[in-house]
Amino acid sequence: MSHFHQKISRRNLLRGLGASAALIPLLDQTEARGEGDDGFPCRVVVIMKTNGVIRQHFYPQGEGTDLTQLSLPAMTEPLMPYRDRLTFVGDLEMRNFTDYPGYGAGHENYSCTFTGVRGHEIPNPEPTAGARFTGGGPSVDQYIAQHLGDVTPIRTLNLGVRVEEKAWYQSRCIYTAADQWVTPQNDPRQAFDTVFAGVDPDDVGDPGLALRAARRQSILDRVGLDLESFASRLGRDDRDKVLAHLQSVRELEQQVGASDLSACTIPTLGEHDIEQNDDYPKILEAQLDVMVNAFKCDRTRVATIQLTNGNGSNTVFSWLGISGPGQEFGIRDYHDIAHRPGDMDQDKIAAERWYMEQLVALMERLDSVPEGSGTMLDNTIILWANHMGNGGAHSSNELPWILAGGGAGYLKTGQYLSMGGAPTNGVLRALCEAMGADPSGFGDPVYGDAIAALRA
Amino acid sequence: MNSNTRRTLLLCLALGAQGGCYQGLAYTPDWDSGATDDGDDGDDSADDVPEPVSEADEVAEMPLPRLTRHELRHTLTDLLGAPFETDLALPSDARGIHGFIEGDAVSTVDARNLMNLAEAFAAEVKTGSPLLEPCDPSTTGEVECAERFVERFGRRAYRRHLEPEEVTALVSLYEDARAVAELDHDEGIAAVTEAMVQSPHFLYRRELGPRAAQEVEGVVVLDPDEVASRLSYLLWSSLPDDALFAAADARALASSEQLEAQARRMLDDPRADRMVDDFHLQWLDIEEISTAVKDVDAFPAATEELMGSMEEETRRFARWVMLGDGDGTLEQLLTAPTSLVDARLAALYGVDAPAQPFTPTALDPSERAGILTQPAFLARHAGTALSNPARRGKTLSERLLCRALPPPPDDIPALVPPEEGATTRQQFEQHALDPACRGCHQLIDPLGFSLEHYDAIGGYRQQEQGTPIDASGSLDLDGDTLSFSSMVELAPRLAGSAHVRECVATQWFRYAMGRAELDADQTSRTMIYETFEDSGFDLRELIVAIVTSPSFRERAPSEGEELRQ
Repeated sequence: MSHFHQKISRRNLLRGLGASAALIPLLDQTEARGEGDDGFPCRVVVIMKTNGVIRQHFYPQGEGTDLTQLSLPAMTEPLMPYRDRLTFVGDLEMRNFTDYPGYGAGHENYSCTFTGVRGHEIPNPEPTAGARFTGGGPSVDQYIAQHLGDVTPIRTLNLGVRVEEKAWYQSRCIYTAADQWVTPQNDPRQAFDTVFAGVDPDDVGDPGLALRAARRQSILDRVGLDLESFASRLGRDDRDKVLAHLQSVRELEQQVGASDLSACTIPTLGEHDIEQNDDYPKILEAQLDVMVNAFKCDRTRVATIQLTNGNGSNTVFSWLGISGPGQEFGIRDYHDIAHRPGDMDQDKIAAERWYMEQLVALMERLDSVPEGSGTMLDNTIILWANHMGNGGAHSSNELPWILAGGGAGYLKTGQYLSMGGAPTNGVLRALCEAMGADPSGFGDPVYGDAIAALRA
Repeated sequence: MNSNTRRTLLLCLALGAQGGCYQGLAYTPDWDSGATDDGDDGDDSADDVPEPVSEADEVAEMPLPRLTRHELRHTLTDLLGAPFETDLALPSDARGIHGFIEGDAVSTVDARNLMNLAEAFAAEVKTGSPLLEPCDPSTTGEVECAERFVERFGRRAYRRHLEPEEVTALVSLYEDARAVAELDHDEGIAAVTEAMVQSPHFLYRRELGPRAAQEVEGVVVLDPDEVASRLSYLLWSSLPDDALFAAADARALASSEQLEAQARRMLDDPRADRMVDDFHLQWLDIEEISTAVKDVDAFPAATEELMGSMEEETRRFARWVMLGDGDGTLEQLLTAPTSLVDARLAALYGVDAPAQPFTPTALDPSERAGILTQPAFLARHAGTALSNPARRGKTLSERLLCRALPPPPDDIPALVPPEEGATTRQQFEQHALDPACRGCHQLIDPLGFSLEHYDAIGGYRQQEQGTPIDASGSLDLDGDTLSFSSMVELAPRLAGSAHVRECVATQWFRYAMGRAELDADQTSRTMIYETFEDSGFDLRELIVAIVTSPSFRERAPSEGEELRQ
């Protein structure tokens, strides 16, 4: 938790802002690693999915490890044209969860998918409260962000689409430290405000913006000082909580700063209602819009997006014509679909296929941005993760993860790797490597090092 | 004799009327009562700290509470003196390990939401608020007015007097913000307001300012300002009122009599509705009932409006029992064949709509008994089209019986599709035949079956799929096995069970303390339960007993905490 104790002075913050916001490539940021040959930074996108898959409709079919020679079945078929731009990592196991004494059914592991250490169970006198099972350390995006430091104004952009507001082990998978989860931003409007400091496309160049930023910074500076002195007399646990709050205020202070947005294309968000299930596709599209535009002008290099909760029970695929009463639960929601007995479930196929189309949409969007001799997709590494393998059994093994993009020359794409139950940390540590963060410092070392075959 | 008088009499008869009700734990510490403390005299000498009533092994740590969303809304409204309504996102809450909602750690997103909220609140303060009025900048001077505002607003927002250095720092902010952001006086006041609403002194409940807590022999006796806030946030979900602030200033919140008098006064205030609402919605896990989605083909009546009425009914009923014309008892809460309904609910219940919506309405006593047979509870813990006995039973087991369940098995086997025409109960009984499932389901399903007369929206039914409803079962309770034909028969036995009564007292204790009970609370909890019992299980007396217990106002030092000896 040492990062909470770093005192970031206002002066340093402002200096950091001026230096980093606009310039790409970042010629003066020699300490920034994770860069490609052209000097463009590497970005990482971590996507969290739930409810597993049906193996024969998801895994590559055919012999060998050359993905470009294999066919992709119904669920993953949309990826066919991009087989050379991704690597399919099959049969992973979330050992940091299955090693947990008395681990239960596969909803609990949601919280420790990206932490690489055993989940942390807090003794609970009354488990209704939801056996409080939380990530036992920082998630991989936060670990990478700690390494990158203040190279961009926003350390991490943590987004969600219809993730439950209530914080519990089925709704939080991003952690700054043990037990300290990050609430995803479900509202693209808020994500937009985070990235573009509340600047609408029409506002660019308005001199009032700098004054508003100065006002907010003065106030947040005072709030930060209050938090520091307030924390100092508290007991350990309370102090950690308040110092985490302090860290958040320091980050906010940096975000609201009057930074130069001239390199940014400020998107106009479409209309959508985050309360409405039917708007799910629009919300996701808007979130990706914010994310890609944030990358384009280097507002951040690290983004995560949680696609519904760790159970999907608040999502009905009405736009695919899937609705009505459930087979096992009250309504034909994503969770009900996952539990459907039998292997020939057209609803499950349609839902997973739709998700793959969204991954393709993100890849295409990144690929449409030229960077040096390639595209932004070449300078991005996308992790498509699922905390379940077999959706019906909610298993924590047979996990099919996908890595896409070039990782600025790091990732060897076009492969199908069958990992035979290897721990997921191999992938998470590879992300660290791709971003220039020391992989040996991430996760529990008993779960192994980065998977060598992923390196180009 | 009105019910309040009767209650007080009962309690005091039971405990002996002289010298307050709590002779067993006479707690009359020697605060220097009468001396007012305006907070800036810097007199922190140990002389004005009372001897604790507890031994060091009888006190537990109190976690630092952060205002929940519910508390934040009410606090901002009360600070403003007018409803503060906003559709802005509020900082996130989480369900704590004690089973009730608590303020979550503040992430960057939360900090941003709080900033937006503070800006919206400050805009309200600017436009002709009484908070600004007593000072005219043109005659008194702008900086002087800013200083007065900081002192006056701070007293209420921070729930204590500000130290001189705090006032100075905030006035400096006023001046700096005006200079760097080119603000006028009102905007400068707004900037200061925003800083105070985002301050930890506002957001966290620990009303000590820059001072360390005072320890006496391993025990920290809460400062009067902290006691005032504990009372107001428990009973009103908000800051203290002027009377409570005055009592804190006069150090008149120390003896059990003083606390009891405040608690009774506060229970009679309409703001106590907030506590009763908040507790019952959280306890029964029905906070989300108003947005629950039902299958409209199966239940055309299940509109958003109906779901909203369900929540309102349960709020009104709980208030009626505890704060209104009800008798205040747990028995009434769990067994009354009465509820407070509007026309939509009357149709669901099959009774005539009352002339005034949400007024007491008699229900069929063979169909309904208390809060657990109300649609809010029944519909919240059901599916969209079908009842869900496992879920209802699990909630009852945990919330009403305080019985924890073992974690679910490693791999939940694929469920067998139900047979055509099978009832919900038959489906669940089939499922529980699987050895991997039986362990938990045999603990929770029978309790849930007791509610099988109620469909997914809480309507009463005699049959399902042409088969008569079987709501019978048995339950191990108080060392006996109880057999019942339905919840209507079970409810009075639950209300009469020592186990259930203890569990309800425990749930209120957790809610009031903001944490789970610990061994160190045993003295307090025994005292609380005895008082509850002696009052005939009157829930108002339970609240009074909790706030006068040592656990409520004495704590252990936190690990690593800086203290004054």
